[in-house]
Amino acid sequence: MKDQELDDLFAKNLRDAEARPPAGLWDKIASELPTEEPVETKPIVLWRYFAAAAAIMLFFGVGIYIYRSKDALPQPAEHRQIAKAPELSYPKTEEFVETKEVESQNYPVVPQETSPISIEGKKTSRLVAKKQESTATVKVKEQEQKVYAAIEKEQVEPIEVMENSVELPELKAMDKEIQLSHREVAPIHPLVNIIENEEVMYAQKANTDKKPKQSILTKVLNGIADNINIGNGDVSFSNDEEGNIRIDLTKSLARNRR
Amino acid sequence: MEPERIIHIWDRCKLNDRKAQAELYQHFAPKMYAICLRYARDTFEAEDMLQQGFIKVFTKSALFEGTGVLEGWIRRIMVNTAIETYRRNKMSFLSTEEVSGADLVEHSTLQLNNLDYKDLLKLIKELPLGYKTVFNLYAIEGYNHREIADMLQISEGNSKSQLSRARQWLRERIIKMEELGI
Repeated sequence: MKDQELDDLFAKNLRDAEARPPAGLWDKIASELPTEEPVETKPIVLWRYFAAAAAIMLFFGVGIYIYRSKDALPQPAEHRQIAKAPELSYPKTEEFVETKEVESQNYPVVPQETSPISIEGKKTSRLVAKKQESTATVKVKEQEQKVYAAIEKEQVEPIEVMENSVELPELKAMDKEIQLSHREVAPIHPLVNIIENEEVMYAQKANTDKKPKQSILTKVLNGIADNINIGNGDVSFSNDEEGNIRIDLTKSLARNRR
Repeated sequence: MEPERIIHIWDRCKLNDRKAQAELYQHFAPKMYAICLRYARDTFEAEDMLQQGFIKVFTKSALFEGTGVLEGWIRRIMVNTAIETYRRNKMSFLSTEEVSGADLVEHSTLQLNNLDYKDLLKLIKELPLGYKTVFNLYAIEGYNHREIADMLQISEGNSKSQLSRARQWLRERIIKMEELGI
């Protein structure tokens, strides 16, 4: 028997032969295969996670919004003060412009010394006035003094008008406060102009807020919070008349916004 | 089963459709089991090969590009699984059977047609492991010696000598069977 014959004999009979595989083998194979349709379950699970995350975010967002809007309620009085400040500053600046003009008309020889007198205020102008004492004539000084007198008169005028307009006697005390506030507000004015720092200023203002009531429990909690937190006073505890405990997180939030 | 039907089932198998996988198994399992039986030492090993082979077919279904015939691809997977088993066996147990090359006699009177599938399979199964694998790959699957040497990680010369010894062994057995009048 030749090699080829032998090979062919086996190849012909065995190559496409079939044999019945043992029953139950398929079950064994199926149990080792990956579970059916894994593609469809994944998106559902992901969708649920996203929904849960969105719900939590919304909950906290609304909570903080309500909390902060409540917090902002006692502040409008202070806002008014700040709001009034620019109104009052207008007549001042106009006056200075006028005086500038008057000075330049009368004494065109010394424009260098008069030019720094600008919106900055009384102090600078007075410094300039002192300089002028040494360099320019006495007349200039007299003129300026006259001008300042006029300015001061005019400055007082709107306040007087306000006092006249308020007829109720109970509010006279309030007027004094307002009068005081006008003078206090003036130096705060430039802070508002820095738009980038507005948020920071707001957070700092919150620090100067009226001190909330504290019981023993909240004092202890505050003590713990101060020792735990690195940012001092980020979290503060207080309670109201009804005994509700309030946890103030707004400072830490405001800080995080930087 | 028509080729179109097989393609349709195969497409569903790729999507991990368990019903389609069962159908594909039912269609190809008898042929593949016959292959496994030729390589395995016993039916348990053949069963194991078939199981591992089909798991590979379904988990690596993406690797079949669809350019060739699906049956050929599955057959190759089965043969590769058998070779893996052979390698494991070769490491754990060394065949010490030696062939006595002395009594090699040409029998022209041999009635080959009397031998059926069962007898031939029995002969193959009785072959020593190394001879069996090479003979299966060369004579039945149709690989050449270089391919066999690559698959079994042996030299080409080794493959050739194993084949000639396998043939010699088979001839002896066939003669003996004739003498016994089976």
